[in-house]
Amino acid sequence: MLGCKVATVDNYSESEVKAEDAVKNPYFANSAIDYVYKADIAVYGNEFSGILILKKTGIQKHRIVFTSQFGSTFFDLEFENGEHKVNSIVEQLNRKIILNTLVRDFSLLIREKGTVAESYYNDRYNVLENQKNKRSNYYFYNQSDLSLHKIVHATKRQEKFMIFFKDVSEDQVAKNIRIDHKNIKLNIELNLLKK
Amino acid sequence: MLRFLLLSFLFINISGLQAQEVELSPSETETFKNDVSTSAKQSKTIINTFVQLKHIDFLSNDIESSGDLYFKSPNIIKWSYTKPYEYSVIFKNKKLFINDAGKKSDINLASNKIFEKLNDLIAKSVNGDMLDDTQFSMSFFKDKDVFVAKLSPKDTTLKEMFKQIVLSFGSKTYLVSSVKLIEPSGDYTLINFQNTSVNKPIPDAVFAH
Repeated sequence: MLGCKVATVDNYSESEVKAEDAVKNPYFANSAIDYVYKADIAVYGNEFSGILILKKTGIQKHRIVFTSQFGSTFFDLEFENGEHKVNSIVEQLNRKIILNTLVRDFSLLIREKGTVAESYYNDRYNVLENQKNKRSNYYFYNQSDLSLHKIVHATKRQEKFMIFFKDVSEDQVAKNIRIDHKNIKLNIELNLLKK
Repeated sequence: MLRFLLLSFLFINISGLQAQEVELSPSETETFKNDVSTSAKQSKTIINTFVQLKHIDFLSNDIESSGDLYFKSPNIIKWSYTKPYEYSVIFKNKKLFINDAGKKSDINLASNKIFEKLNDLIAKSVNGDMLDDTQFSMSFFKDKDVFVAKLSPKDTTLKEMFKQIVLSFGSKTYLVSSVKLIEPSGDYTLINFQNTSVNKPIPDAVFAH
């Protein structure tokens, strides 16, 4: 049935995938940068406001810490080679569905590279489709400057969530990032803190 | 043998480092606590500016924020952050009122154990009124011209958040000059107070939401 297919790249033209094609996300790839954001996380009616800190701490390793304004830690997660470790998490967020969602969101957010299965384009975007565990990640690159504009995470039939990057600086830092979920009430908004 | 020498060297070195900090005797502790308590009772209002540093080991730089703090006895507090963004929190009538760059919300403290503990802790540490608390095991030191109180939470909720809270007091004012909240991991938040004025009237509007 036509209506069941994911509509992410409807009306896009297909293009040939070249051997050297790869999805790339440069926004958390510099280990010299402390990525520090004001973060608003809304989860099932609860809102957490604080500071989200992301840091590349090794070749394939990231640390993500979310703290309140007063310095207490909401969660502290570590990602390495696609695996994750929970260093700490507060009771209100320590529910399987929330934690799994956060882990899935952040793994995709920090993932630097991946292979390309399909490739599409229209006037505004080049889209590279990466497939992993029966799911697809569609990377939308602006035609104008080739910067990564958004990532859509979808199953074969349904878009699950998307990550939007705005206001990218010269050193490849996205000043505004939004993660929107379609089926569950979880939204994340990040705004880079000025030095 | 080498290990022993190394250990004693380390030990001497560590005690050498801490030499400026001298633990108060029981009678000095008693006097100090009384002075803090007197000062706290006389402080009906406190206005401070503050600079807050969040230290996380894996970061290259500490995260700095700053703003103004208003305290009204016995337990109304407003933290008004102006940098790096506008954000204020008022603790009043067992509620937490948040103004996040114009977006207002409130949290009932009674329904939120963590915030209740945090509020209590902050109110008490700002006016120095936490030193008789049964919730902490405490030790006291003098370091040059400041008194230092080191508090280890006994309460389970608080213990999960902070392994130790270090309060510094001016040796003349007996008011809190800094608060260091140390997490179980060793990461910490250090808040330094400046430009303190005591018993200056605070307009009600400051605490309005």
